[in-house]
Amino acid sequence: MADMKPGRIMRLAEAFAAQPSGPGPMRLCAATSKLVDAAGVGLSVGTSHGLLDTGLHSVCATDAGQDGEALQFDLGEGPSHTAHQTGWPVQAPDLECDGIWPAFSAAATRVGLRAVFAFPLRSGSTSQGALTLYQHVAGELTSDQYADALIASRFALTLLTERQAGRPPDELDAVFSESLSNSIEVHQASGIVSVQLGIPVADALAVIRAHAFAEACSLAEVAKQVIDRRLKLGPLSDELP
Amino acid sequence: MTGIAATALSREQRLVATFVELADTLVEDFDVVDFFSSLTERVVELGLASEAGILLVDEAGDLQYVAASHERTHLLELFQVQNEEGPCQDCFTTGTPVGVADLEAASDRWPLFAPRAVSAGFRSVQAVPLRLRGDVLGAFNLFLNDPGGIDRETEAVVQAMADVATIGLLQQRELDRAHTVEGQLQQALHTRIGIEQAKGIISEQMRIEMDAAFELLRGYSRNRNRKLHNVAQDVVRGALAADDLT
Repeated sequence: MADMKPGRIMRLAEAFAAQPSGPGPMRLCAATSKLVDAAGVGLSVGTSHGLLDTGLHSVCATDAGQDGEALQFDLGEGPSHTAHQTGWPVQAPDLECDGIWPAFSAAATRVGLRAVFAFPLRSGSTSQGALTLYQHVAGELTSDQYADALIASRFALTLLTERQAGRPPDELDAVFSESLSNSIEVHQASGIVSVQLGIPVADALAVIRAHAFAEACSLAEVAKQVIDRRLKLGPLSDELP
Repeated sequence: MTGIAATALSREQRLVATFVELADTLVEDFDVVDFFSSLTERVVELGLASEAGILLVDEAGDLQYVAASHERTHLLELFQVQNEEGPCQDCFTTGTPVGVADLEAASDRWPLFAPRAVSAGFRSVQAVPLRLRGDVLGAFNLFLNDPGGIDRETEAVVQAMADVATIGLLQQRELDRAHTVEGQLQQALHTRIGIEQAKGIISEQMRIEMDAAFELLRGYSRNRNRKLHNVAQDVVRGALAADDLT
């Protein structure tokens, strides 16, 4: 277990304070990137809840974290998903030798990512999302990096939840509504496909994902085609070879 | 001498065990009422008092009954709450320990509470505050069947227990707050996503554009005076169809 020495917390606080002013979650990503020497850092929130199981949504990421976050959303798999689902940190020190997320690892190495480390935003026994480190070179985290990332993930949860604290549900904080704006059409398309196939929206999202993967295009592109009624998807079984 | 030493040791060990147990309780699955109930029971088991009870201040700043070791103490604690009179009330108001060595001579101080406690069978009483820096979160009440009250040593032990209890209480309140704000974020995200999904469903069912689907959704929720996200949720789970909205 990582030690929670005040010194670590201070170092994170200093790195956070040294970032240019802006939304807290973005500053935290940048500060964490600097502190643990990660090429990219992303922060995502989970929205798994019964029928509305829509997985992880990226809230923000540093430049080098954007690709990894987008890929995980498109594919619906990856270290951040696993960390969020299990509530435990997930370490993928070499994506080229990984067999856990075949779709993600292959796609990630194509965009130059070699290692990913995901830390759940844990609250008691549940997870609210993930803080994810992306590296361009393979290699394990040192115990110092691990401990710093763990502290950053705890800080991240507070930062995220405080933004929405005390607001009514229909007043989503700008940080979240901006990040969701990339996926709005995906959710609309999920609604359309759920009617077309007579299945729950969560399953409809899986159908859209499968099609996007099979056609090697982004979720957003498929969603656009569905909304424009240029594409009508069949049930999931028809998509499989 | 050995007998006394052994008894003293065993009491000390039991005290240590109680503190360890209290500390353990603080970690997982903390339940305020369970926690304080077991605290009052331990106080009695350790022979620190005949019976014990706890009152806590609520959000409105009023004392409320939380737990008691026995039913007659439960009733006495409620009596203090209802009449806003008694050792717990005084202890809460002053933030300091309040004790009376002879309840039969305390009718001037507590005209309602003292006779009631005596008729319940108690002869002395002690209240210890649950303190956090300047704030008082509640009071721990010890009732004794005999006059004389509790000695300084016992008072110190009980104050230590009250301090542990205060930590437990604060931890619980912080957890509750954390759960509340996390719940608010989750609900806001669901709201937003659910509305988009509902728009997709309506647009397909009615063969209309997303904007028109949203107008339908919003019009229905306004006419029915329902929250937009609740209507959207009904659409997503199939309880409402697009036809129902027109």
